[in-house]
Amino acid sequence: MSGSLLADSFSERRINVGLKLFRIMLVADTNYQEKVSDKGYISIYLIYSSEKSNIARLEARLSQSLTSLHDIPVQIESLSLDQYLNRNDNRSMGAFIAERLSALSLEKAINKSIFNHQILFSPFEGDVEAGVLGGVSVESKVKPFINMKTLKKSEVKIKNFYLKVAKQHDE
Amino acid sequence: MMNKLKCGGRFKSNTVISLIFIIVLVAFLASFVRYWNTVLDPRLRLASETHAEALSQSQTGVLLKAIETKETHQRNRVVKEVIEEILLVSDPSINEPFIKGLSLQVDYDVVDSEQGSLDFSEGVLSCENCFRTEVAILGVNDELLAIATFNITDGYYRLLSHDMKDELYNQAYITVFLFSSVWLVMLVLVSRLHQVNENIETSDRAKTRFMANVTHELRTPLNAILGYTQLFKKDKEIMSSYGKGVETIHRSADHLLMLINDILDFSKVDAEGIKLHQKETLLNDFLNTLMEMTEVRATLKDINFDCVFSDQLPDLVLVDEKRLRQVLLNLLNNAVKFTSHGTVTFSVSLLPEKNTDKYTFSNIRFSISDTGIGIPKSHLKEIFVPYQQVENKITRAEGSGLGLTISKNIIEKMGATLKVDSTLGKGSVFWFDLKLPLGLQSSTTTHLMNRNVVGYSGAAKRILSIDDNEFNRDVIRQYLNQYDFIVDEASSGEIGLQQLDSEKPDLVLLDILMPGMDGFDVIKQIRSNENYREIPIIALTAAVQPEIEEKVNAYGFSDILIKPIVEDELLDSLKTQLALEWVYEEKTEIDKIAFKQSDFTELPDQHIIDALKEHATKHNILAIREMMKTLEQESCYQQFVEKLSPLARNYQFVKLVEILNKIQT
Repeated sequence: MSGSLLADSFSERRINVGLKLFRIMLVADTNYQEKVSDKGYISIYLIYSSEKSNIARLEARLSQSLTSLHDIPVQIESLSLDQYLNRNDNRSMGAFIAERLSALSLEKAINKSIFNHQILFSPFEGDVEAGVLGGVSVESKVKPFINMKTLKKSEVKIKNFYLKVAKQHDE
Repeated sequence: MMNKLKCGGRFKSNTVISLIFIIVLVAFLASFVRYWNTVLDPRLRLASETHAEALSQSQTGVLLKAIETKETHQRNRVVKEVIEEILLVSDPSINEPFIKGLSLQVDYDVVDSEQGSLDFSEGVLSCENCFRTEVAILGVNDELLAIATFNITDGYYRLLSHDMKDELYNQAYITVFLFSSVWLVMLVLVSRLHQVNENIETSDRAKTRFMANVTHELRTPLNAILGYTQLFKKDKEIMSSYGKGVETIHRSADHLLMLINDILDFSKVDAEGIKLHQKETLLNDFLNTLMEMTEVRATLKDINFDCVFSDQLPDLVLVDEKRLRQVLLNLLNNAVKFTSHGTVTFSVSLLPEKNTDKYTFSNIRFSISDTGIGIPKSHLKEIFVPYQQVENKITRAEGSGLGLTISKNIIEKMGATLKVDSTLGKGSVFWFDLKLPLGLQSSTTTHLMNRNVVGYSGAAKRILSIDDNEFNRDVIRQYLNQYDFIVDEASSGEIGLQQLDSEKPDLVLLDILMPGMDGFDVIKQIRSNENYREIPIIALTAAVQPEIEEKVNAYGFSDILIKPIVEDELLDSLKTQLALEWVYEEKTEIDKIAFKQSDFTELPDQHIIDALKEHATKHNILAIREMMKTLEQESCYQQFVEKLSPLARNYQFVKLVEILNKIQT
């Protein structure tokens, strides 16, 4: 189980809270219409690195709470990191990192998300500082955590309202 | 002056202690302030912030409910009422509202209301000390409906901060109070310690003064006794009739002088105050003197006294003769004291030495054994402990009982260890090994003792002797008259100063301790007179404290002689100060005896003469005496014994050997 998203209760809680903040962030994306696929749905990825078995629970959970965005149906798909990196599809709206990735893998995933102008979200500590667009800030209260540089590079448009309540990382 | 210095010292140590306490106190208070500023206050502020965040978060439920009011036209009123209600809620503990101000911004893209209709800003919006929090109000589908900005009161922070500061102040007051108490106690203790120290120093100075006075008073009459015995020893008529008596008086007085010096040593308590003064010593002479002195005591107790001196002992060694004699006499006297029958054996032997050292050093073992009462094994260590043996029944027999401690310390000072082995009822043996540097053989041949001074060349010198003690003046006069000095006497400093002008002496012998003007006052007067700035003035004193010697040098004395005055030392000093050239006696009576071989009716056999010569070479006085005693019984050798005995009696071993060399049987 080591390194998995269910490694311990703290990580599990971060992931659960992360899923909620990810949903809010997706709602705050003002360019959502550009991300609607030809088939008329919004595609969301859950990225894992090795343990596919655990991803099913998360997928089920996210599918339950995120059936639609702005009344557009949502399709949630679990992908391995390699699958994510090799997929030539820039219509996906966002990707949620469900397992802690190595620095090199994370860097590849960040570059891929910037290239695809999509929201990349990681609930794991330190990933936003490493360049992931969105994450979780846990201090006296839980807040969304945004990497402003990646936001600019990826050209994702987030509502100012959302940015106001988020903790921003500028370095 | 002394009191001023003491007060200064006490003030200084009090200041140092106070300074240390003030520094520690300031450091303590600074750390207190620092602890508040860097640890407690930030922690308290963070806790208050968290409290404010939680409080804000708890209000989002009612706000969400108000924003989601279904009737659009009612929504504005409901939201406003809810905000009013939130701003009303107060905390009785701080007696003011929790939330001082609230501002609501709604996302009208999500909330179906007229633009700006739900944006409220109520209460205190710019509050410097308030905790400002922003809370997102999320819809059912996680859409961000609004952001509520709260200004939460810092009342909690102030209340807790006040309570904690009070607690800290209380702790600080208690600590400062305790600290000040310790400070005060320290000052009192140090002050008392100073007082005790001052008392000890005063008592010590009084003791030293007392010891100095006592020894001075004892040495003064000894000066007369030893002075006269030295004069008598030069008188052949007296010596031929009362030689043994004079010798005994002289030795006894000399021993008494040594004891007085020992008392001074005891007053120094430990060996720290004892300084060694090495000088070239004729080992055989030194040992023979010890032997003589002990033999008398042994004879009185009717016990045997054996001396075993190795033939290989060096003639001349460098040693503090006085201190070594003090130790050996102490051990020999103890051995005799605690032996009621049997033998006391004094043996001195040469120990093997490394090749590299054997030409410069001699490793000599001194051993004193007896067949006395012995010491129990359990008491062997105690006998060297200062004052311990005073309570010891064995060593308490007579004397101070501190002799062994002093002896042990002196031997340690000489770089050796005094060892003891004893069996109760069978006897004891004390021994130590000394590594002594060898002296130069040549220096012995020119010693003044070997030649008789009869006068000096040049015009007669006039000497002024200033001393309040008549006997001392008399001894000095008799000493000097022998060599044709003109001696003027003065019984006080004042008279001495008058005689200085009338007699115009070439040299002044000046006693230091005199009633009225003392030696220092007199020399001050003399040196202030331009005519006597350069006149040699020799200080005579029975006080042996180092400070007296320093003062003597400082006052411009030419030399210092310690009483009892030794004639040779006086002559040496006069020679130096007056640039004298001594005239020596051409032929002594003893020489004359030696050369008239025809006077001897009969001479002993050559092997007896050779044996006598060998004993004389080794300065073995006991063996010589034994042989003389045997020869005396033969009437034919009467003349031989009569002529040579005085030489042996006066330890004139060199002369004895010279004469024996010239005798041919």
